[in-house]
Amino acid sequence: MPDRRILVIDDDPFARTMLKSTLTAMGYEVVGEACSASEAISALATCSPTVALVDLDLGEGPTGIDVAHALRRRIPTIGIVMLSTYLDPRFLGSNQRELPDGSRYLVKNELSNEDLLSSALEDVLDEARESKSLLAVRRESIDLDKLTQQQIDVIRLIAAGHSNSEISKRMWLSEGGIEKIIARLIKQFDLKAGKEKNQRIAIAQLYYQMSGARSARNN
Amino acid sequence: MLEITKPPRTLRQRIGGKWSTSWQTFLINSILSLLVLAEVEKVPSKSTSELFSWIYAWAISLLFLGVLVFAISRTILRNREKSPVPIWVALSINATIGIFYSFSTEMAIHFFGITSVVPFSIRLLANTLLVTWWGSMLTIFLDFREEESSAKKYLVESAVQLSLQEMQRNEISALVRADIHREIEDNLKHAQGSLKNEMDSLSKLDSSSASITAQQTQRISELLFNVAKDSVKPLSKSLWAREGEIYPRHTWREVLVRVTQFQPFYPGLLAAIDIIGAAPQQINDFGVNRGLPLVIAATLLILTIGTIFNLLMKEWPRHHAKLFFVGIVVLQSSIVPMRVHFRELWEPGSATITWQLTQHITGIVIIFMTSSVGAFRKMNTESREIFSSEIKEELVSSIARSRELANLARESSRILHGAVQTRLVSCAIAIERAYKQESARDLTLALQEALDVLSSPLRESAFADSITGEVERKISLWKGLCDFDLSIDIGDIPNHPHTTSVVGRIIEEAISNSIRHGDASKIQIAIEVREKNRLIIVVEDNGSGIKKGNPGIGSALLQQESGGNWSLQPQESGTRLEVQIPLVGELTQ
Repeated sequence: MPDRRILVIDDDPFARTMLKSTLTAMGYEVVGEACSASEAISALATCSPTVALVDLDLGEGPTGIDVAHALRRRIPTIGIVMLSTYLDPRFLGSNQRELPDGSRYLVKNELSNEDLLSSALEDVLDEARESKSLLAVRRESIDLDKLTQQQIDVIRLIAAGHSNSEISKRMWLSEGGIEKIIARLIKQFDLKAGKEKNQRIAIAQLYYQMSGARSARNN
Repeated sequence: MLEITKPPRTLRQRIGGKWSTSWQTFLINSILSLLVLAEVEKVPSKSTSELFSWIYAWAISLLFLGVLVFAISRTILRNREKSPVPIWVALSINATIGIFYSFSTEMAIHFFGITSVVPFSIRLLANTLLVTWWGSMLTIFLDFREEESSAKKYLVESAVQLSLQEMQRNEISALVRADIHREIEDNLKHAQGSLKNEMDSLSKLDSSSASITAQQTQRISELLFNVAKDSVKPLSKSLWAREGEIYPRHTWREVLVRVTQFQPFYPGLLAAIDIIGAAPQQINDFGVNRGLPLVIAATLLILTIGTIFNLLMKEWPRHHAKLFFVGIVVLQSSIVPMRVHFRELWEPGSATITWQLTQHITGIVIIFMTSSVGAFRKMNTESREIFSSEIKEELVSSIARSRELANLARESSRILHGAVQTRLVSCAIAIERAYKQESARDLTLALQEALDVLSSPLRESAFADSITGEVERKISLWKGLCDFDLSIDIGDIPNHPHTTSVVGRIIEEAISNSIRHGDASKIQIAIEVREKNRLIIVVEDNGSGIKKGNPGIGSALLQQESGGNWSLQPQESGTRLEVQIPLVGELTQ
């Protein structure tokens, strides 16, 4: 199958090895692999993939989204499938761009079988072939779609252990504004009301859930 | 910054509050009641069987009393921590306890068939008055003690905050990172051990994968799933939940020191207590003609000595503590021997050593308690300053260190969660697949990987040694997504790790913004030293700049590090960011 040429980008060498063997078993031709953004771009000099499988979190520096945009700039029809532990890429940081058009976003923990992965790959390949440019399809989640970037930032900073005054300094909002955001979050997700500390833990657990924790609550 | 002053608590809050009928007050009162009982009934001089009967009587009556006190604390006083009861309620409760105590002691006395020298009416009156007064005093004292303790906590807290702001973050981080690594390695070693055992048992088998049973595969992948679930996540949670170091417990010694250094005697109060406590017994023992003058003499002594020493302590405040102790000594050594003398005179043999000792102990305790009563009224900043000057350097820095540890622990737990858990789960999946595909080689690889993950869970982010090295490292991360042009002119300023990491973070922020929001394809970075105490960082790109107007989390970093000296200006062919950060170290003189 000549147009199933795939480029694998993941900073974890073991994950790359496993992905390679899975993809080969599925019938793809792995034409290149890279562990960072710059390696991915230089890999394009020696191969021309039709689809790229990109890990979102590549460690320090550019994220998977940055790599995806850079790949699109060079190969406008390349299909993008992004893998991540996070339910929403906005959890990686607050100045993320949107996913490139027509890309698929898969959460690693929910890849219980390989069919999900192969169907995502097929989808983006079909779209590339037919030159469709659909909007990027993210994982459906009604809860997450309602979340604004501000709310996600607050959740992330609470989970990192910051107090309200520290958060207000980082986000250039007043402490009252932060408290309002937290109150809306508590209402929206129906978190347990009680002493202030319990609510903060509940919000931090929310973060763990949304960044792909298996069952953060049970311990 | 924390507020140091809280509004001082009122009398009502103290008497009707948390310490009223607390187990601590009950315990102290029980012990004191035994001493008083022993003294009044001259228990130590009785025969052994009577001695034990007295102790049983006391214990039984205290048992009933304990039930009553417990019931009260759970019903009438159950909300006393949040909303103290009115004073009259608290006093009535104490009076009730006194009455109850009298009745239960009386019943116990009759039950054990012992004779008491004190008629029931006097016991009832004395106990009611004493418990009412004594219970309230003790409650106030304990409340005062707790208040001083939390005042000290606030001071320690604010000192810690100050100290944290002054410390260089990176130097602490290095120490703390080492601590975290050690803890994580220790925690995961046990999982390593189990996995090693499995690997050993596997290697003993045939190399053909057919002999690897499904059971073993399942066991191993289960082990890894469980480790990912149990070791890593709870570890993350335990790191996350780690609080700053506990404050040192407030010691009785400190409170007593505070009392001796500031408080006067309260001669009137002392005299009143003495009359209530000693008069009934003395009049009972020696009759009115002898007892009453004795009581009056003691009262006069207390009033005179107390007042004199108060004047002395006021005159020479620097020797307050010494005078306080001397005053106690004078009081006790005048009153007690006087009593002993007359007691021996009128009732030879009754002034036992035990009795004298009890007199001394109760006397000293009462003096301290009454003096601390006045202390709560004078919540002055002077005493707080004494506390604040006592806060030791090591205490502050050790709390700051553990606070930093907690923050770093939270950060690390975030990293742990993402990287390690994922890798362990993929190992488990890989093992299952290797078994399905009957590939012994893949299986061994996967097991080895799992062992690697378990032995070094955190990946260090490598900081370069110099500013130049760090900037070049950051650029190399983004190379390929953009073209870079770098010019650094800083001579040989000493490399401070804090400055290096700050410059690195600023450069990272600038690059990511230019590429993500400005769509830049060319970035020029220039760094130079100005006037030997500032670094100027200039980043120019050919992008369209930040589209949205409101500043984000990144600008908070720039604001904090530059102290406001930064600017982002659009140019004709792009955007220009300029940041000034101060340099620390030998350059600034």
